[in-house]
Amino acid sequence: MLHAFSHRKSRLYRRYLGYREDPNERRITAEDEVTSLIMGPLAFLSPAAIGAFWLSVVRLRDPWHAFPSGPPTHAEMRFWPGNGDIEPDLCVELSWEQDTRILLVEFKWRAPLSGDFQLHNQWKDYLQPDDRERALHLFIGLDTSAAKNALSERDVWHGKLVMRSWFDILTALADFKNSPGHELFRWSEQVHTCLELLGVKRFNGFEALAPAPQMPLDGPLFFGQACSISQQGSPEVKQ
Amino acid sequence: MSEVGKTISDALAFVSRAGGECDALANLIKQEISDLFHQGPLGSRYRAQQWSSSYRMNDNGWICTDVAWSLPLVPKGKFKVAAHLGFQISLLCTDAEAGSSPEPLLHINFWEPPTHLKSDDYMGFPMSGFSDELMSRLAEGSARLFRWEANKGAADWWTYSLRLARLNALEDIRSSIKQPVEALLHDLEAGELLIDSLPTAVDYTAVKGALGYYKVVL
Repeated sequence: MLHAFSHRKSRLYRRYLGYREDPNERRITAEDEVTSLIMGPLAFLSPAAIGAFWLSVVRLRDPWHAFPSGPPTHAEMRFWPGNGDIEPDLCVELSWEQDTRILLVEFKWRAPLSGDFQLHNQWKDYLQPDDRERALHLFIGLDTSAAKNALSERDVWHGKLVMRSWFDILTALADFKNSPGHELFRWSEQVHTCLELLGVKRFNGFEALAPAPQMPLDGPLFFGQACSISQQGSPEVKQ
Repeated sequence: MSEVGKTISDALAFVSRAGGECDALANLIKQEISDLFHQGPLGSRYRAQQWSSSYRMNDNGWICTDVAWSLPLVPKGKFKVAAHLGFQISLLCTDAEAGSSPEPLLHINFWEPPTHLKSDDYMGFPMSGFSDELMSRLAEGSARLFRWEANKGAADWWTYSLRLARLNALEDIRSSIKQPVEALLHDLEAGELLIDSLPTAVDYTAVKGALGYYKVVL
């Protein structure tokens, strides 16, 4: 679906902006669909690509979390891995030979946490104590206030809760513009376009803007009011 | 096709694209500044509350000229907001009140109230209450950090300005905003040295014959 959205072949993405074709729809699964839409294709890529993406997300603001050097030798992304009543959205396992690290990921999209202690319960009850030693817990939402509230309610993570917005995901993806191999770049470009459709826009910088339009020197005068719009709208107007 | 008509369309499309970049930039700055108060030394000094925003249109209401965001900060162990850390994107700064700059500016502010563009609580001139040292830097055209003494025991208030169009990537935001803000809130003198070394920051100079007005040095 990423390609269908980015090439404007489908308008189903409006569903993730709150638009409902069937106003009586009871079971809203937008959050799981967005998770699958964006992260599903990544699971098919090589361990190096999967590792590069998740390490970039973690290191964006928490560079002190140490990982073995080089790309992982094995990577697996398991979606909705249930364990009793607890079902995180994603469990990522990155292995460097015998050294396996776990990223437990909860995605949020226009919805609150399922109960005040959803994140606490995932961290404490989904993972065994020795798993927590080699794990990080990632929260990814449109904003991170739900995770901040959970943390200030009770800190069970001791520095291992990584809070990111979907906007941060775009920022992390910008690192792959010049990455070796094309698989990660191709996926990241699709994600970039799709998230833009969903209102999450990456900062590309002002240099990337096309040159400002120039007011014609000898052009006909428009009526006064509109001419002043043009002059104010264009910072490089020739007077 | 009318040439001026095409210019109007092109100019408005350009303004819209520039506005989109401003929104994305603001998101990035909010993330980076919020991050300062989650961990590290500032996280143990302040508790950050929720961001608020404010905007201002031009006189005929067609163009959004300024937009600002503010983060209320509560000192740890206290209940009241002591100060606001904010930033203000000002797209039209050509008049004397806005610093007579031919290009847009991004102001980083730390002061008591939230930055509010529909009252007087925003970065603009006239301004007063500066130390002799700052006044002499303004006279010679090398002032970068406007600073005021706050009430006894509170951190001093300050503001500095960046050339908006010089910010183009995450690293620019970290070097021009996140690191200086962290330094300024830790030690104002050390932070000012950092501001003095920033290639993206503007110098201000006094406007002759206009008390309280300062303009960007070109």
